[in-house]
Amino acid sequence: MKKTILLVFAVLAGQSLCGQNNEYDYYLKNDVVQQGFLFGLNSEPELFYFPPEGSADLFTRMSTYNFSAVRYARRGYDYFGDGAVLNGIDLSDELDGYPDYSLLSGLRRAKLPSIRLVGTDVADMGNSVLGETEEFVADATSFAPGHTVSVYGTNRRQRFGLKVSSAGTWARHWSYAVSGIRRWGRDATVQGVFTDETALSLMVSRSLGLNHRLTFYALGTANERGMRSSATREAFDLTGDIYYNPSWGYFDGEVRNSRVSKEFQPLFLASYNGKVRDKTELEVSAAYRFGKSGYSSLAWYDAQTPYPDYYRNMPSYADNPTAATLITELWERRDPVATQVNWTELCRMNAMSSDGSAYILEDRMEDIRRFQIVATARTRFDRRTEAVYGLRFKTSRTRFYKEMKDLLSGAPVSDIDCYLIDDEMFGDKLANDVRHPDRRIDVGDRFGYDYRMRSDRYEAFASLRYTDRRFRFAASVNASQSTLRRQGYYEKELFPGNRSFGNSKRLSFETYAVKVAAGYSFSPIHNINLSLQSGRTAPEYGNLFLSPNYTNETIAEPKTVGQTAADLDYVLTLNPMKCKIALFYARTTDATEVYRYYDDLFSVYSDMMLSDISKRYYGLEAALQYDLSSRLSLSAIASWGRYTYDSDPTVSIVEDASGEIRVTNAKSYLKGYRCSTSPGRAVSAELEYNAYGWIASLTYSYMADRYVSATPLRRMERAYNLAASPEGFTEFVSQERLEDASVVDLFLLRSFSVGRSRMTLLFSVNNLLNRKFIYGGYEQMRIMRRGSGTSQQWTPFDSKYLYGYGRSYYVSVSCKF
Amino acid sequence: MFRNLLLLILLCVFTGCGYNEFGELSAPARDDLPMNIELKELRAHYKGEPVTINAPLVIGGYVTANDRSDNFYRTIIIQDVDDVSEPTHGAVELRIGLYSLYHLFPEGRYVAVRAEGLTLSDYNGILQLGLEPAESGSTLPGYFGYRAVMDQYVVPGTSSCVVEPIVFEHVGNFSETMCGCLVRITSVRLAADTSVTWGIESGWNNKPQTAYRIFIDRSGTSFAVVTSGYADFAGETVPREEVSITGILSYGRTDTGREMYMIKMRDIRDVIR
Repeated sequence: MKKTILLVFAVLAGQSLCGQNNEYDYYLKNDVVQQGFLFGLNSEPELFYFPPEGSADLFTRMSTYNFSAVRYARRGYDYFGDGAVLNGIDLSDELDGYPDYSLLSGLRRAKLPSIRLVGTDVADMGNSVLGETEEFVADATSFAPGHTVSVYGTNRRQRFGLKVSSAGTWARHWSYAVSGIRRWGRDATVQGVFTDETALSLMVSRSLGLNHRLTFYALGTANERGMRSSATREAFDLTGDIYYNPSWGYFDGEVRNSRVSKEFQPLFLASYNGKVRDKTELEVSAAYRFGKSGYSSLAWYDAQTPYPDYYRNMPSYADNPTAATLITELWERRDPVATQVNWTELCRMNAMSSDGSAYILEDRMEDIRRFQIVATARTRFDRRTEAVYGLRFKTSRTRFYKEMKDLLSGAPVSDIDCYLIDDEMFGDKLANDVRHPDRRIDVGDRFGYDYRMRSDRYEAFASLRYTDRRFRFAASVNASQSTLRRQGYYEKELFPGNRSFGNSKRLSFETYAVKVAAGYSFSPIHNINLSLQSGRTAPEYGNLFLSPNYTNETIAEPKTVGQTAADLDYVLTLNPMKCKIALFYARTTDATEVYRYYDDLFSVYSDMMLSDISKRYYGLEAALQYDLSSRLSLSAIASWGRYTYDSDPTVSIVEDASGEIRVTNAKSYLKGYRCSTSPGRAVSAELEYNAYGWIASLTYSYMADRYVSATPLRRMERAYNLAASPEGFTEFVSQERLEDASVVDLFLLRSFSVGRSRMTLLFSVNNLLNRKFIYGGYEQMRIMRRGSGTSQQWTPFDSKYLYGYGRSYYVSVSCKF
Repeated sequence: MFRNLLLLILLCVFTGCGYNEFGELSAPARDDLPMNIELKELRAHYKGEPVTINAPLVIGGYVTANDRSDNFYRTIIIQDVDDVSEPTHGAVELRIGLYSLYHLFPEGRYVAVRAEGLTLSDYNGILQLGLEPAESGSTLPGYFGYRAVMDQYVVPGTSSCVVEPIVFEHVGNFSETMCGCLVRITSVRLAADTSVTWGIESGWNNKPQTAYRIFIDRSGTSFAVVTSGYADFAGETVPREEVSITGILSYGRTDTGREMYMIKMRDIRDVIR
């Protein structure tokens, strides 16, 4: 009978599979910036409706989901301010420093228990991040036995999903927890956005006697997702569609997206956990992750850009009134020939070309091989004092390359640098790899660039905790030594010899983090805690190389990034109320960032290096939970913060092709500008009713003090001195503030028994009132010149934005038996 | 547990449909826009100064020259063929005003033009169609300049025909009505004694400049080969031996002020040794 029910679920869900291609269906640094930008936009309700078990921090639980309608990072730290750990395995990417979104997503969907540590909380592993650290535990014995089948439907990023999970014991001493998830479908609001994902999580634990356990865990997620691209206000206004997505177009009447990400990078983990001495437990974990991820992009050879919203295609650029009117009409009536990628024409042009495709679809790939081993010991000296200490080794090999995805009805192309074709100086140095010249690139071939980043990291950590009735003390220290090196497999004609081929200089960093925390309970009602942190972290690899895709060239003086932080919080527990107020402060120093962009003043592709970047984050967080009755409770959180640049970074600009230093020791006057990572003010209040198998909640969230991400270029004298008037100057230097945003969310859950099974029905609506607001935005690194001679004028390019989702729903039916 | 694993496998069976596959492009849905006037009749509408076409004329022809080598700048030339695919003397230059036109307008592609509202003029004997002149007093039709504008008038077709050049042995057989047409003149030699390149890649102001290279046919009559300094073959040396030259014919004034017939090559393959 159970099997029949499950099969019916699966078949009914499967019926919805095909037909998703119907065009009448509702039809996602700068790439690194875009990916981080979209991190929050990709968040999905089911990840957050069941808060990680064990998380006692109300602010954490509410803020992560309730503020995800806009670009949000707790305390303003960018996405690389967060960390994640699985059985001691540090899940942060060694190159970027931040945890992989899809890996985290997979772990949360598999419902692995986790706790979240905030800011300066002392973690056993001595983590050094400023933001949140999510610590997952893979232990099959911690899953409640039983089987669950869930089916869900939504209109956001996909349409349907099916999840099957099972946990229990099997034979003697074996426990298991497995789950499989399948989700698919096109976004109902944003055309071109879709999800096609299969995830499997397999966990097995074996008890070895009373105090020892072995756990094996495998998590694999294969996904393909159509992405959304940001656009200018002009494009949104002309189309009348705040969800306008320039990345897609029609191919033979079908919606096809130029920006599609795909990934399959499974993780395998083995953990031993056991009591090795009377008071000491040992955990040894080893993990291996491998696989590929990539995202597609259009490229073109000596041809006009295929992107419809290129600035020269917009009516604002047309200085001919007739042309401007004509273009405006096309956009206003949303003629896809003007507003979307014209795949059909691209393919026809390619088919007519005698020299290979002019337009191609390429995949920018990352092929990872990562191994990590960590040994952690926990010694309980007495019931008040314990120490945790350990060693970790991480090694990572990441291969970056381009792969031909589709020739779009054309013939193979030569492996040449498409950016140099018309270059007056370097137009004769086009070969991407002189060691394999004159290659014709067909579908599946590598081309463009091919290099590997190798990094190794040795780490030691220790923490000590003392807890008695009133007083708590904890301290941790983490020290590591990491190395990084690029190895080029292509010898680029523009950068011959070791400039592109072979090994780069070996970069080495010594980092550390020291945390100290103390707390005092005046009574069971009043508690205060103070935490302090200081340390240095390694920079991201993208900020260490001028142009890592093509050269071994590193920045002049690579430095570690300094971090200091302090937290002071007060907790009041007075039934029926619990309240926490926290003051926080953090400062980062000596950071470096590298931007690759087209410099309109020099009219060349350039690399801009910013050094001595400091940022400051301070503010207040408050959380309140009040039980109005045994069934009704009120929860509220609020944050106020200022997240700003705290220095005027030093700027150097290097011409990308020649390596000529065009600007040195200039300044970008960024001090005081807001970091755009998070609203400065945010409030959320939730009223929840919980009784008799019903949970109903209504949440109101308000987010304000939001800013567009400022570009360093416009705060340089060479840029703002171009302004012809005070108004023009303001246009260059002012930082746009985004409108305040507010959402109302509704959540309903009904759980009841059917025989020996438990059914749960869930229904939620986000942004119930369908409010429209910008999710986030960024300034472009471009400056436009209009006119010539004495009538020449320079103005910054328009910023680009993404709008937050309007009303979206999520419905699920679960059966646990 | 194993039954549950089977169910997991069932999940994988229901894989998603291809959300982003491209496949083969289907045949075009529409036929080429038919012309209602032959290109060679267009010249009759030009009376010596720019004129706006007020009749619903539709002309058509096959691309004979584009900007592939950058010798032609932001324009294309189309020429008509007769019923047996022989080239006619009907040709016109379209003042498109976009870049990298050779992808959209490769040699041989049929192009139709809705000429009503466009300005018809002449430059060095070559008929030109475009928008009204950008500056008052100018005889050059304005560029379309924007794809959206071009699409109102210029309709790329699906048929194709590589137009063969009209072959000549003597310059004396050229006529001004052939200006704009694709011609080939055989057995010609460079008149200069010194070694020269087709174009001037870096001139007196360090910028590329157009060069006029004088050739003579077997009867000793001169004509010029005109090459932009931006052409990708501008730096190549002009051969001293007897060659055949193919290109678009025009009649105008060289840099020394001499009036003569001129040929503009599409690319270096238009020189046949």
